[in-house]
Amino acid sequence: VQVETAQLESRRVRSDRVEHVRMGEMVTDILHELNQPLVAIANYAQASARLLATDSADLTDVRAALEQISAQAIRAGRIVRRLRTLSHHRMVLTDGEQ
Amino acid sequence: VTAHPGNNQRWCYVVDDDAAVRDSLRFLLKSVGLPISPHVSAQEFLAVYAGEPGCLVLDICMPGMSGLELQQRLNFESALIPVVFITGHGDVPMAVEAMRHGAFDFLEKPFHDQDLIDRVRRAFEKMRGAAAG
Repeated sequence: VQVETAQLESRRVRSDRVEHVRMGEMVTDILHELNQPLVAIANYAQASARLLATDSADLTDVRAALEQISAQAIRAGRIVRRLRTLSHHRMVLTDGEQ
Repeated sequence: VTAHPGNNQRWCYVVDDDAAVRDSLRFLLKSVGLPISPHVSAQEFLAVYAGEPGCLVLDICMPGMSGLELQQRLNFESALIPVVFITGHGDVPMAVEAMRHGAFDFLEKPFHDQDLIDRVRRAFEKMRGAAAG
């Protein structure tokens, strides 16, 4: 019985470790994805500031950039929500094991 | 729509698989008067690039052919175009490898616009020097 318990325990630890690694990879992927809209937002905002600093700024361009900034912020928000779902899922798993 | 350079025009080629990053870079470089030719993948860039002078702003991590693979292909073909890599967090080992293979510079995303603009302008200068020498 003791041998069986030890085997079960070591199997549990192993699957726990696999789960950890898998979760880590998913988080890395999601963080990489989250960076993309942030890059776009920074570029659009900095370019808009540059355009507005000139006398001949085309406001149509600036408005288009603002719309893109807003769209990219919403895209980033969706990615954050996915990350939150993932961390909630992890907490549920951990609670279940106790 | 893919812009393609005419004669004697130096272009800033941008290769990034993310549409928003690509479009925002087009907007940024256009705002300082730098002509840009955006491309969705390394393969698409290779299909149109024929050794014109300019600068290549290259995402390091892309599906299909990666930025590093594209750099090695260009090196193999003895292309002179300077490459400025743009990398995500955690891509530092890849950036180090890119520098070892002769990359002009690299920037971690997100970056200050001035840092990118300075590098692109310096890369243009470098290629002009290389073409003259």
